[in-house]
Amino acid sequence: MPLKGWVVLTKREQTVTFLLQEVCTITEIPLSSLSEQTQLIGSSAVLSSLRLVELLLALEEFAEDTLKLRFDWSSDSAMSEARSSFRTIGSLADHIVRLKAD
Amino acid sequence: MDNRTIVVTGASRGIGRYCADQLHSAGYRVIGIARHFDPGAVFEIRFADVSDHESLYRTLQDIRRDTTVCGLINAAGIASMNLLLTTPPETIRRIVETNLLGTIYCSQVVAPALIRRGGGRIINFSTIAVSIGLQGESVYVGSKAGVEGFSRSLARELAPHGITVNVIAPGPVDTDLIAKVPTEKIQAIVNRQVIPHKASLEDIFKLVMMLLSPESSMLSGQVFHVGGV
Repeated sequence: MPLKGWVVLTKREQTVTFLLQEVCTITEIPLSSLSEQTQLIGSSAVLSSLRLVELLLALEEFAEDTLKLRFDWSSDSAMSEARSSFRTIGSLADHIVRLKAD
Repeated sequence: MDNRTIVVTGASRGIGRYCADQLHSAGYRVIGIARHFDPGAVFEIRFADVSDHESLYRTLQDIRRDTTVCGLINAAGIASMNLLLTTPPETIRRIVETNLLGTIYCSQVVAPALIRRGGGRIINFSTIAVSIGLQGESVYVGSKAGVEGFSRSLARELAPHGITVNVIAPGPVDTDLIAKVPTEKIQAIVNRQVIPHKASLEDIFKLVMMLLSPESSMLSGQVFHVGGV
């Protein structure tokens, strides 16, 4: 588990941090305006489907390299605003942590 | 062509095998996907059943981040000349799984590599039988019509990533697929083509090369009928 100063980041925190930075880079929205509640899909999404694919591929590489986790993105509810694990930065981080725990 | 890899399904025989051999000769690194061992293959062969998503994913997982992958040729296909009423359900399932699901699954597994590369080519295979509504091939025609619809839609989804998706729909070509079909039936189909001659494997491959070329970057979501229909 990496150290940030004296703070030990959990896998979830690492994932959230990665996602916030990545969304900031892709969308050019200031980091201060993003949070775990930032929507990734649906009517208030900050990303187009094109940019969402970029984010997911970047996250796949982060998960493989940093968390040593390989997985398949396909999901029955992937694009459902109500049920999708991809709906917000926080829910996506939860999804990755769940996969890692399984 | 050292930095260009192409994935070819159905690489153990027919159009897939021919394309894999020719692409290898042209200097591409070819990853052939096949269900059977082929001692004569000069290109890399990986064993997977295209209708088994898990098996495919496992087999091709290492190329998801390989930016040398520039193309996918979905040539795996099976057919059964039969009336619908007399086609066993298991045969129906196998045809749809191999032809339609196989094309969808392979596209899903390989697309991330093409997106990461910033562009690429997906070439799928249909048949003249779709356009002419060939009698006695309804399940095969249904599966290939699905491939055409899937390809048109996927072309739009992947266009922003610089990836083209096209379909080659030949008339009868001398492969195992039509080996058991009576000659007069084959000739009747050929006679319905704009150019009433049986296309060769080389004719198909020329179109494959055209679609792989940079010059075809504005061609996507199209069905190309070799021989015309």
